[in-house]
Amino acid sequence: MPRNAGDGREAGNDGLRAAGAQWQRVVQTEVKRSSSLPTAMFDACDPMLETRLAESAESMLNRLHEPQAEVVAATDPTAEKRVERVEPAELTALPQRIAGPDLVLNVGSGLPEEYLAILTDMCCVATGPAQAGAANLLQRDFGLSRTTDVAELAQLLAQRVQGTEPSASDPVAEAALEGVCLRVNAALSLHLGDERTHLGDEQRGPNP
Amino acid sequence: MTKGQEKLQLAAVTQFAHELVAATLNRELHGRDSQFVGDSLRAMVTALRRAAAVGVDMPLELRFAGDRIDFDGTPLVGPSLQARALLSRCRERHIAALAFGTGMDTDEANRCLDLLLLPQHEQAFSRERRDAAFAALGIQNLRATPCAPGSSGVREAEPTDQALHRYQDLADCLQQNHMRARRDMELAVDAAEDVVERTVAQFDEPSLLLSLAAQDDVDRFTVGHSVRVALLALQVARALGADREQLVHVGTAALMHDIGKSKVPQQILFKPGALSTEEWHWMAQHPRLGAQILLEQHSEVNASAIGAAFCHHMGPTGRGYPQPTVPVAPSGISRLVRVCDVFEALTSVRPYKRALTPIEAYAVMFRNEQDFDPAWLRRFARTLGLFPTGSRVHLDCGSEALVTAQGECPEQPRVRLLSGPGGTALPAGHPTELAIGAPFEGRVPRISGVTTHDRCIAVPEFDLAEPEVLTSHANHACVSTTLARDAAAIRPAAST
Repeated sequence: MPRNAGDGREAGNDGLRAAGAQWQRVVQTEVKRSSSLPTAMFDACDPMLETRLAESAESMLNRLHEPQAEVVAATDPTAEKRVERVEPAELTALPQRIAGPDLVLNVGSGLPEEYLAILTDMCCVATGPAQAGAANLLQRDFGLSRTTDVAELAQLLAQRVQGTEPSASDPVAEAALEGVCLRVNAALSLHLGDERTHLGDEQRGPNP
Repeated sequence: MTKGQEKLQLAAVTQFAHELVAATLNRELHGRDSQFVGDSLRAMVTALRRAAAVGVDMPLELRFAGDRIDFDGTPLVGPSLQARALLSRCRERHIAALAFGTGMDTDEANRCLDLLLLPQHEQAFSRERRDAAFAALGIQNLRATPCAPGSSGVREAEPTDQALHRYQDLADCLQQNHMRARRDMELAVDAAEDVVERTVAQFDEPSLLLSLAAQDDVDRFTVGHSVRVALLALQVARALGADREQLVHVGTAALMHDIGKSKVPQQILFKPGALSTEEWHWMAQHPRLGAQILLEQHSEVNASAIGAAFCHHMGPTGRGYPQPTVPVAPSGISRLVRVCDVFEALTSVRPYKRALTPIEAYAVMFRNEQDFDPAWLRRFARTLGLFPTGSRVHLDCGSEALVTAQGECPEQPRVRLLSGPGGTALPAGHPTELAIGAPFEGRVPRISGVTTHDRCIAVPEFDLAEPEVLTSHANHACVSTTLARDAAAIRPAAST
């Protein structure tokens, strides 16, 4: 029967305990063997010596088995990422980095393109209600329907999402785009009614 | 009692109140016997005992006054920020104060929450039924003080109350929506827009709300984080001259940007250590999950909210996640939310990291400039300033000061002196308001350090030489042709 991760850890612990016990026995024997004192006298001098040596050996073994916290922190990529060091030179340069031409920024810029791309992605990747929602919004906000032609759809995506016309010079990109369009078409067919709306009949951006 | 002891006791009581609020929220979100409730009840009982250990009078009494939790006449603003549910239940049950005895264990604490939260116990705190209700549940270490007859428990409003009330609105609305999303229920998107609209209408300058937000410690579903991101985004959008409708869209999109995290298992979301590959896979799904949740709604969801949920981990050059099936060029709102999201994450405390000061956060973000639209990043930094309003700073003369407003340059705010050189008291009548970089008492003051609640960093002299004209914006931000087209449409304006 396959074991789960927990079983694996238990087995690992048992192995460690067995190795520790084995090492204890070796240490006890080794200490007595290397001593010049007879065994009886050795025990009489310090009856706890063997035990203490064995415990030390075991704790060393455990210490080796458990990496130190600072080592874990140093090798933990997340921890490393989250302890950000900032050099004084970086602070010194900040006003210069912040300066520069004051560009006109608009919070609404690029919204229709982003929206169309996400709805397209959701038609391809999502399932169930999310895919249905994306298909309905493509119909409502971009005038797509289950009868929208794949070539027509490719044209729309290329123009409004990718910003380029479909080109025969890049067959890989063209094939990828066609694949996306087929998936979108399948989603539209699955979720939309049979009304025939043509691209351009009601082309509008995202809801205000 | 020394000031130090007082501070220690107040910190212990504040921690207890935070844990009580967290336990209440966990009960509402996860149910009575979930692991999260168990964890927060243990933390609550530990905090109670710690408070006793540092000399807080027992039983520890918290008073519930309007939108605030008070202790011994001191408002506990931090714990109050996400305490809407607890305060509402206390109001419904006409409870003016609750006192917790040190003998309380986690089981008894959970039974106390039964009395507070479950509808069948709504009358349990009435004078006639209290003793029987407490006895029936074996509650021995809780004392309740009812509101005075004829009193609603609402006290006279104070200046910070409006901000507190608004913050609670935002947090409560977001908690409700995360809870609904988690349970596959319809979101209250209209409610989110309403609360953002009220915030926009009420606060021209959200710095008061942001300074409150810094005290938020209970972060179920990263609610505090999302509220702060929304407030930051609103501040920048307002500075850009966005109209009311745009502000509502920006605020709502920023508020809901992490809604996908409601579908990420809580053990992963709040894991203090490194995530495994599988856990990271879950986390990386949250932008797409967020967009999916919003698309599943029957009610109208603005396109910008869907965009921000999907794109807030995407850089302008396609770095980050998710990997879409067609290129997605993030909109202006998504780019702004991304900058606010990272800034907030860097400047807030997490169980596994300390907060960076804003100036350090900017340094880190400019170091990784390719992850952001540099135009939005620069505008963000200019709007907030290198020392955002509310920052505590040290001046080169040795005085401590509080940033009260931004000046002409992002590195030269206006400040109010809190102390004289070396922490000495300011003489009576001494002017306290000054502008950094402008002459004051025969010298030009400079900021030499900035402090957070647990650290102080030195601020070196800035290099204020005329910067080279930056022409690389299009190279950084406009990899896709759509973005290039956007960049061509934007034109330089008069520099500030």
